[in-house]
Amino acid sequence: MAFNVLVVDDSAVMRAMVIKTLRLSGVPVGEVFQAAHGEEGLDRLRAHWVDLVLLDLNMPQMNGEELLAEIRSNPDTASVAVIVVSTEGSEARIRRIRDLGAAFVHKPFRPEELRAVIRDLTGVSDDSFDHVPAVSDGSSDF
Amino acid sequence: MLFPSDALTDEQRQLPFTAGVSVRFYGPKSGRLEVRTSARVGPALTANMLGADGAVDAQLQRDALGELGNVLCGNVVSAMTNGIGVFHLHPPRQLDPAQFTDLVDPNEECVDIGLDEGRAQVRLFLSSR
Repeated sequence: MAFNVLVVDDSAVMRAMVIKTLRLSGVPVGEVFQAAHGEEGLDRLRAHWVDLVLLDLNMPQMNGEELLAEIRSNPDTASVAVIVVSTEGSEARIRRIRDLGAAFVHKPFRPEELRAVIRDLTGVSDDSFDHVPAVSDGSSDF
Repeated sequence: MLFPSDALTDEQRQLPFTAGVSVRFYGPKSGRLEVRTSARVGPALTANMLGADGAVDAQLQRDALGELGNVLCGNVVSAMTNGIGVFHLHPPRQLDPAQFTDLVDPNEECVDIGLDEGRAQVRLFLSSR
C-alpha cells in the first residue's frame, strides 16, 4: 500500500524537508500534495484522496489546529491520519492536538523520529519497510 | 553541516549582516526574536536544510532563514515558560539589513554565533508590558 500524502506548511523549505524525509524513510509514498496554509490544505483534501496529512501549526489564513478541527469534523476526512510537525511547546496545545487524534513531532526533528511516528500512526508493519535506505547520510536534523 | 565555534574570531566579527528575519510572538510573554546572518550563511543553511549540493535561489534562502527563525522562536518561548501557556507566533518577516545597528536594547538579549561560513546573531526582545 502506498500512502497519498498532503504536506501543509507555509515554508517551502520545510515542505521539501518533510517530503524528502518521507521518501528517505522507506514509507511507501504515492502522490504527494502540498499546501502553504490551512485553506489551501482543505482545497487539496476536497480534490484528492489523502491517507496521511503532515501539517504545521503556525500558518497564515488558517492555522494547523483549525485545519485539524476541520478535518475531524468532516465525515469524509475524519479518519485520515494526521501528524502535526511544529515547534509548539505548550503542553495544553499539544494535548488538544492529541485529543483530536493527531500525532505530534517536535521541530527540530530527526528523520528517524518522523518515520517512527508514521509507522505508529499508520500501523504499517516492519515487513512494509523492506529495503529501507539509510536516512542519516546527508540529511539534516530539523 | 553548520558547525558553531566557541567564540567569534576577529575576521568573523568584521563580517556584515546581509540578511535577517524577525518573528513576533505573544502569549504569557510578548516580544520578537530576530536572526541575522552574514553572506555565506544563507546559502549554506538552505543547502543543509534541503540536502542540496548546488546553488539555491534567493527566495529559498529567505524561506530557510524564516523557518530557522520560526523554529528558534518556538523553542525559546516554550523554554521561557516550561511549556506552560500558549504562545502565538506571527509568520517570519524579512528584515532590511540596511536598518541593522549594533545597538542592543535594554530589553534585548543578543547572542553571536561563529560559523565556518561566517557569523549569525540571535536577538530576543521582550516587551515590557
